[in-house]
This record gives sequence, structure tokens and C-alpha cells, in this order.
Amino acid sequence: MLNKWKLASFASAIVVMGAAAVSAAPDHDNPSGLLMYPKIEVDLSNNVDTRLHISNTSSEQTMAHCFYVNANSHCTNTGGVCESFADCNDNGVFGACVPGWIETNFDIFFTSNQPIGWVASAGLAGDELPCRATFLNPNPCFGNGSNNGTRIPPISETPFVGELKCIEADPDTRLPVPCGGTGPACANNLTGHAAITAGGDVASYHAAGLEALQNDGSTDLIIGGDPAAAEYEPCAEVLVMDFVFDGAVDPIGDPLQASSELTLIPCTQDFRGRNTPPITAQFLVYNEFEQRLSTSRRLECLMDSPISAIDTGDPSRSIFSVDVGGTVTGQARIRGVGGGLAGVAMLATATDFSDSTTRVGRSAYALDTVVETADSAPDTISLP
Amino acid sequence: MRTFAGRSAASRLALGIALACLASTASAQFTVEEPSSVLIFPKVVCADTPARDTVIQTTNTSNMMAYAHCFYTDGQSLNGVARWAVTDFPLSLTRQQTTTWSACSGRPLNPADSQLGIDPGSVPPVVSGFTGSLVCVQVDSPFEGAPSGANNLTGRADVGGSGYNAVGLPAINAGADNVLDLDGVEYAQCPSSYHLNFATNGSLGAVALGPMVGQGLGDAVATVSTSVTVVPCSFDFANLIPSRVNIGYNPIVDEMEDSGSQGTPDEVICWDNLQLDSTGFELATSFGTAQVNGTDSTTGSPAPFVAVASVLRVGGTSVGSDTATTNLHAVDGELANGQIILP
Repeated sequence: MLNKWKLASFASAIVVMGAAAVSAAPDHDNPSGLLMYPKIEVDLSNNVDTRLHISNTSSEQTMAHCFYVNANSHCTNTGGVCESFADCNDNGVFGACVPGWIETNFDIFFTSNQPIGWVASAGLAGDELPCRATFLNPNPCFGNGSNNGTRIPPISETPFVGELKCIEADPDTRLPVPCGGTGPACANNLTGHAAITAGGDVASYHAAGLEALQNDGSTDLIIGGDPAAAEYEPCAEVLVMDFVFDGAVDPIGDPLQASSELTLIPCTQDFRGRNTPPITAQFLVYNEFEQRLSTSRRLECLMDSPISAIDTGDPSRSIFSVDVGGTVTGQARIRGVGGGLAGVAMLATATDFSDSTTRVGRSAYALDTVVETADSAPDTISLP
Repeated sequence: MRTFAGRSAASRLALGIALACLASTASAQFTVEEPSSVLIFPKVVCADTPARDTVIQTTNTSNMMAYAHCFYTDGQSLNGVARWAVTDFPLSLTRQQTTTWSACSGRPLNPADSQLGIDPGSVPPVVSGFTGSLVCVQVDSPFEGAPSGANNLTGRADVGGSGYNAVGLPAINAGADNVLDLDGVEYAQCPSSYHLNFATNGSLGAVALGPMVGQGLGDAVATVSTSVTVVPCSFDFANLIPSRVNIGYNPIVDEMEDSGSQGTPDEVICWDNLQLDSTGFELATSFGTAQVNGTDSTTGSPAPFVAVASVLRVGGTSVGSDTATTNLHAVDGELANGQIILP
């Protein structure tokens, strides 16, 4: 009995030591100094648009330096937006569909406790600003301060798939204010969410936030890694997605079937050199029988895909398909090799996905996050 | 040969290591995306008219068996008195297993039924008209097990096509007794304040469900209403005493920094779905933000609660309506103690 007790004690130690290695990860739970919106979607011809909302939760004015990333692919021959080479047909001549990465940056100036919302296709500027100061009206709002300097551009083209990153920054330098250590506490005042509407559906998700820990005011933001050097909380090493296998009958009832989309973005980005290195996303998929399958996919810039198209061109043969998975729901553990990831998933249900009028619902949800080791290689965001 | 004292010393050393590691578990705050030992699903609905159901998905993120003791709480009120009807059931999840069930149908323990996968246990259906919450506490064995601080559970719920992540309360230094102190020492505390970003009631949704605003293509644009589902973050499943919290909105700020507050807080007993309309404030802009605060109805001190927000967009006749449900951001540092008492 004493041996069993000792064994149990050591076993307990091993289990909890594993648990003790978990540290802070990007969260959607608290205001942050860096916000990530993994999915911005606009297609005006199909009534798809994204409403974005950012709030300053402090009683002081603050500013966010933001970056839209246009992740559309374009045809080499026509220059049009494409999803595959089949979209690049110019009088019978097919071009290549090349992934793109185009960044547009802008600033948002917040007054105290101010929320600001805009529609991605329209942007927000000029007279549309809630607190636009003029010579005749220098204090347009109830407190001091204004939104002057804010100019949110409309997204550059439609259709558009991309992401948005916003960093709380100094209005003069457009860089995070030096903080932490013996200096002032870092500002973590931003919250945000996005609502994607598509026809009659609305799907909302919260922006993923990374809290600022310290900053030296440089143009390179260190995300995670060695705690002594980390300027922001680490990105997740593993994202956990609870999902319904594509084609599975929705548990609510026959004949609704499920279809999910997954959007992943890398945490490392080089906005200065315009050169974001590709990383590999590894997927471990468990069904309800605890059976495991796996696949991997290279991320050039942003991955936005139906889950049953992640690993194959034939959805019925995908490990994310009910035909392969065999159960209604599954768990996917997604690990980034070469960098951290952030992401959002969307679940849609319909009786017939080829007919959009049969769609019943569409919801977005943030992925669960796991940071397994506190000292993994950091991600970096290089600012211009 | 080792003496009794030697064996005891080794055991004490192992226990000390275990306790030290438990104490150093870093993520000790409420979460909607990290594995935890307590999951709270604030909004579970089963209705016939209109037909609504809630699909609940729970996952064991570890490579070991995980067990949970779950409690449905019916938050309906009869003649102003909260029913506080509690139904409990066990769950057993194999390693990395995810499982799902619908609230209206439950999931029987029947390997021969059409629901593929390993049944996690006999999950009862809720009654028609159920509006309430689900709480799952990780335990160390399938029946009458003691609370476990392994932090292996994640969950999400889809209510009529709109989903949210379960609120997780990680264990920090879980004890084996049936009283779970949500005090930041044994388990994470719940927030007493949240940020709520919303489109102002009755305003035109900035994105129309049909044709875009301003394009003049004919159909009516969307109107928006927001509701907040609130559950006090204390649960007495042993004595069946419902918890209460007063919910107020202060400050409420629009895009022009005009701010106000709600006059009289709403008292929530066990569960409630509060329409933003009822607070009676009118804002001048399309977007607003509010701080949602929980206070004790007796003392006025901060009180913990969990909440999700649902936004209903109603379009014109050629398009329908849709609801999007989201978790809320907690206000930094605004936490309060709660308790879960298991039977």
C-alpha cells in the first residue's frame, strides 16, 4: 500500500508538472495591446461583408496602428481574384493562380472609453468619424480628444479574404510605447469583435488578443519565447478545434448537414520587408472513437478553407469528412511548425449546400488554445 | 532495506513536488479557450415553438481518461419564483475524445443506436421549454468522484445555429472536498464585470442582411437587438439554493463618448436573458460599449457571474433573421469569489 501511495504520488507529480508548463496564450477574455482578426470576408456580389468593432476600454485616449492583409490569390494572366487556376481562363488560355500578400496600414485614434465600428467594404474616415474635431468645433465629443488622424480605408478589392491586426501604439511614433520593467505598465486597452454577414446569416467572433508585457519601443515586436525577452504573450502552439465532420447530420436533426470552414493566420509577420515566411500547420484529427488521423498543410499567408478541402480535392475522402471520420463530431489539434497560429472556425448547417436558400445557420467561434512550453521559439511582427 | 520512515519521506517528497507544481500552474483566470476543470455553458435552450435546440460539444484534451459530473439547471421561473430544477449526470471521456449531444434529445447510453461514437454516459434530455445552464466539473472517477484539478475539458454550444465557447474555470490547487472555492486559490475566480460591444438597439445594422445600406436595391435593411444571458457564478447543487446577482450597465458609451448608466439593475436569480431594450437608454450612434457589472443584491459588493451576448438581426421580408452569440470580454482585475457545492 505504501508502494502504491508512492507510485500514485509520483504519477500525480508527473501529471501536474505537465500542467504547470502551460502559460498564458492569446486570449479572447481580456483587453489587450495587440488584436488579431483572422477572418475578414467581403464579396459584395453575394452580399457578404464584415463589420468590425474595436473599443478602447480605458479612460485615456489611445491609438491603434492597424494592418489589413489582403490574402487573395490573383491570376497571372488577368490579374483577377481567383481560388484556383480554373478561375484564370482568358479566352481558353489558363493562367496560374498565385497566392498574394498585400498589406495596407492605417491608424485609429480613440477617445476615452470609445467604441468604433465600421464596415470593411466602406471603411471610416472624414465626416463619418464620430468625434471629428474642426476649427469651429474642437471638442466634438463629450470628453476631450477627437478621432482626427483616423482614416480607415475600405478593403482594396472585392471579393476579399484577409485578416486585420491592430497594435496599441504611440500616436507620434506609431510604435508601441516603451513600457514594462522599471518603466510604466504596458497599455492593454483594446477589445474587438467581427461580424461576418452572408445573405441572411451572421457569424460573430472575438478578436484574439495578446497582452503586452514589456516593450523597448523598437519596430520588432517579440511575441512569446524567452519570458525575459517576450514583449507580448505567446501565440498558441496548439489550437484545438471542436468540430462537426463535414457532411455529418447535425445533431439537432435530420436532414440538416454540417459544413465547417477554418481560417488560420501566422503570428509572425514582416510588415516592413513584406516577406512573411510560410509555415506548416499540422493537424491531428480525433473522432469520437478516439481514432486518430493526421495531415498537414502549408500556410503561405492565410489559410481559409472548408475543412474537408484542407487535405484533398475530393471532400468525401478528407479526414475531416464524415465518410472518413465516421462519427458526428471530432477534435482537431492544430500545431504550427515554424511559428504560432491564430484562427477562427465557422460552422454552417443546411439541407443542401448547393442551394444557399436552404442554409439554416452559420456561426463563428474562436479556437481553444494550448501553449505547451514557455520557452518555445518566439514569433515576431516587424513594423515599418 | 528501506525503513518505514524512508518510504514516508519519499512519499512526502513526491507529494511536495505535486503540490508545488499544482501551485505553479500559470493560467489561473477564467477563460473561454483554454482547457479547464470547470465548464459553464450559460445558455442552454430547448423549445418547441419556435423550435430551438442546443448542441453541446465537450472534449477531453488530454491523453488520459477524463470524467465529469454535469448539472443542468433549469432557470425558468414560475410566478416569479425561480424553479432551480437540477438534473445531474456523469460523463466519461476517453483520451482526446470529443462528444456531442443535443439538449432536447440527450444521448442515451446505447452502443446500438444511430449516434456513432463512444457514448460518454447516459445524458438525459431536458424538458421542453428549458432555459438554463449546464455546469460540468471534472472529477477523478465516473461515479461520485472527487473534484479533479487536471484541467482537461473544453466545450462549446450551438444554440439554434449560433455558437459560443463554454466558460472555463481552471483549477489552481483543487481539493478533494465537494466545495469548490472559486477564489483564485482553489479554482479561478469569475469576473464581476464584462465589456459588451453592441450595435445600438433599433439602429440599422451597419451591414444589411440583404442589399447593402445605401445601395438602394430595394429590400429593407436590418435592425439589431442585443440580449445578455446571465448566470450567477455560484452554484449550490447540494442544498439547491439558487444564487442571485444584480446586473447593471455602467458606463454605457457611444461613439461620441456620450455616456450614461442604467437606472435600476436587473436582479437575476439562477438564470436570465436580459434584453438591452429594457434598460431604456438611447444612444446617438450605431455602435456602443457598456460595462456590465454584477453586484450582490444584499451588500452591493461585486458579485461574480458568467454571460454571453446574443445579437438578433432582423432583415426585410426577403431575408430572414439570424442570431449570433458571442462570449464577453472580462474587465481586467474585476473578479469576485464564488463557490460550487457538489452534492
